Amino acid sequence: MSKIGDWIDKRTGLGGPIRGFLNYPVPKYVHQNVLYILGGLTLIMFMLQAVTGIMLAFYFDPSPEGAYNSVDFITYQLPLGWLIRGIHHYGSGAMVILVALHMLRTYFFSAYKKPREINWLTGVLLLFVTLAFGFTGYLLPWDQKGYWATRVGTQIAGSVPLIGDTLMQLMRGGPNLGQATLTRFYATHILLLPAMIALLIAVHIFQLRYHGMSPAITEKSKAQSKSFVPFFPYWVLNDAIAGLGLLALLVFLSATQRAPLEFPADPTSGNFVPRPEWYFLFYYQALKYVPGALEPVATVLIPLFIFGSMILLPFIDKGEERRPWKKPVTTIAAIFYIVVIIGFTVLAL
Amino acid sequence: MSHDLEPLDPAKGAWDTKEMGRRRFLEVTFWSVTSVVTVGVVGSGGRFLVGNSLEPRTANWVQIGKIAELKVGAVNRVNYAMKATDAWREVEQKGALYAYTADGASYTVLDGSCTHLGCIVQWAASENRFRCPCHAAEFTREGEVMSGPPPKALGRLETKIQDGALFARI
Amino acid sequence: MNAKFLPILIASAIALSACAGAGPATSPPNTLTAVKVDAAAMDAAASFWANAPKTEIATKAADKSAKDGPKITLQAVYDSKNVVVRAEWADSTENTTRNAWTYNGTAFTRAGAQDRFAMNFPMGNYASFSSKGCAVACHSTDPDEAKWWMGSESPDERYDVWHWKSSETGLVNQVDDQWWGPKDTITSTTGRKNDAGTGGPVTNASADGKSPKFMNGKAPDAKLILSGEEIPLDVTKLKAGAVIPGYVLAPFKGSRGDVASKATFANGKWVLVFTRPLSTGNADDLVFTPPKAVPFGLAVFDNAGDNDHTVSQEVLTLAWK
Repeated sequence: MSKIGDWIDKRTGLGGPIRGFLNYPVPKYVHQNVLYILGGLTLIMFMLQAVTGIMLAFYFDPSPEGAYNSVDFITYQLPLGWLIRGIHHYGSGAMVILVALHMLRTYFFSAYKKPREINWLTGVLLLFVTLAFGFTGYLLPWDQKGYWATRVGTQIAGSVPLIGDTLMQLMRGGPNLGQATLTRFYATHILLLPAMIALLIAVHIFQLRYHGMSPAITEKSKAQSKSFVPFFPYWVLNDAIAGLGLLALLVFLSATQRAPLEFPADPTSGNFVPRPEWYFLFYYQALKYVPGALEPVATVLIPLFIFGSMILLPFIDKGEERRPWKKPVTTIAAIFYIVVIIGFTVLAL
Repeated sequence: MSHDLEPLDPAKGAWDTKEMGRRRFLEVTFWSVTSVVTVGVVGSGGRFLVGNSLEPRTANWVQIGKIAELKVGAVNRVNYAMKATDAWREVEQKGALYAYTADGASYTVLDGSCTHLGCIVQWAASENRFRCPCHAAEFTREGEVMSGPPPKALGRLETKIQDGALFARI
Repeated sequence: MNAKFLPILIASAIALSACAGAGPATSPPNTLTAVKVDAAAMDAAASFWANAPKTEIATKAADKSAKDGPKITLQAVYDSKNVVVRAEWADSTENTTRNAWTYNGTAFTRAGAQDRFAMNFPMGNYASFSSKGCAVACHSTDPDEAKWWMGSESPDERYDVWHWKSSETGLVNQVDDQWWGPKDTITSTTGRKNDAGTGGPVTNASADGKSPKFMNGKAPDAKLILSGEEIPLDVTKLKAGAVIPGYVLAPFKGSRGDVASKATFANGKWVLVFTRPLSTGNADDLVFTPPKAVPFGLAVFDNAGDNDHTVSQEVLTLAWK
């Protein structure tokens, strides 16, 4: 074993970097706090999405005539198709939740502060890429839900003043939803977004290693910050066990409730009420409260404001204070967002 | 994995010596968890990817032509089309066959795919033989190998005559 | 930071949200939910019906001026092999004598119709049927009723149809298993076709069409003349007022006989149970693959000999639990 290892190491030079990666010293306060598994767990969830996504691509037919039947085939006829599609479907929701929780952890521990601004920014982009995965993904079965949610979703882009129509047609690949839209969304979902997310994850993790863990915020943690354990197996094992639990949960969900497939898309149906996936429901609900004349406010300004405030956060909140209970402004702002998002989601259910 | 940990810079801190005692145990636990997951993922993923691809081909009777339209004493190239389920699509499955009869009563129907590498053989009437355009294989009118690389004769299909039409089992 | 409960909290949050994303928690109206049982039997009084949710389906006539039809109460159960549907609806009269002959002592008159019940299922994923319902197969929007026709507009669009007829199939405990496709010719008024098979009703009329040809050999007054038991008409055995069935029935064999039925009429109500294998192995039948939900249409015919019927104008869904 070690002879082969030596042989490979001498030729590739990978031994040192790998050892360095695995033996990276993790402070004990990090290793012992479960909140720190969220990032790794998100990565595991992404890997599950990648694996199940590649498998689904073996059977998916990206055409309006074939898409629905191929997903129907995967879900109801293919051996274990219910499982692979189930994990991918429920995994998309789990991914959104994990990204959000990971982000909240980072936020409340003020881990976005200097010198970790780039890490926060890549994180914000990763959140939006994750949502883009969701949005492009659920059109693919070409069922009523995917079709109508996309029709409405792209129409939202269409309400942007001046460039709206152009934007909408670019998203749809033409004035109407059809083959061009499906192919675009498919290519985005399986090629463009994976390439983007892989790059962002690489930068994100490199940043983490480069700056090390953000400083402890409690006295108890600070007391442990001089004591270290190696990344492998200590921290990796935490994530692996959590990942196993997550996988078990996704398998359980897939087995008890088949990943939904609504009836096939009918562009002429008059009685279908389009509703997006649950993680966009809060926004769907918000749009109900906006009068028509103010539509650009809801469709452009509010998303832009949310995105902008996330981007600007590390440049606005530059103080030394990292304890959330000592920084009421950021804490209350976050709680306000959480309450609004959860509240609107519940209202929309 | 290397088990020698380099000592840390004292200014930064030190390895937790108490924790280090569990290191081997944690490693074994990690590899156990990982192998269980890997076996599960590879097993179920493999089953999914194999899918229905290994299901045996099902044979169907397909009408390949009206008896009256098939020339006696000559090799007839006939195209057939039948409704079939191709994975998740209902399709019109098409193919080419060769039918020969000396007496208009018993028919030899040959699958046109060369038994070497699957190209479609062509009937060369002047030379009274089938010729494969790919690797110069030759077959007799009955489908037997005359020369070239094919390992066996052309596939011969079961036939029946019903309501004035010739059927073959494909 | 009390971190110990966090994994549980995260797990339950994910589980809850994922469930919320799984679709509507309550079963929407117009959905017939088939419940899985150990052994699904064609028994209207079986105890498993207590666990099968009841769905009420309203029926209306295509002709807007005609009055509405009865409300149908539907239930369904299934096991690993068969699905059983139970339908119940109010009907003031039991009509099971289609084209029956009534003898007045000297001559016969032929009259009568039958109560019927039908369901149809698309045999593929057809967007318009599943979003607009059965109406897409009933081309009944032309003001001229004579131009209405039933069927599909393309050979790639086929419907599996289960057509229970109280007199023609009900008397032999069957449902006529049919299918709809496109019209055979441009002038034909229907795309309705029968599944492959033999048997079925044969009209019971003499060559001059003025009297029945056969009668029941055992009981001249019986509602049913089973093929093989018929004897040539013998008026000497008949009293005035006797009713001779309009058809000699042979049970369907083959794919047309895939659906079995049992019906009773009592207290102004039909109770009909019928069953079919989830997969019949026949190309002219839909294969059910629970838990895949399938849309369906439904029609009820009150003492109708022709197409006079009331239908559900909603999209109905057969779901599986």
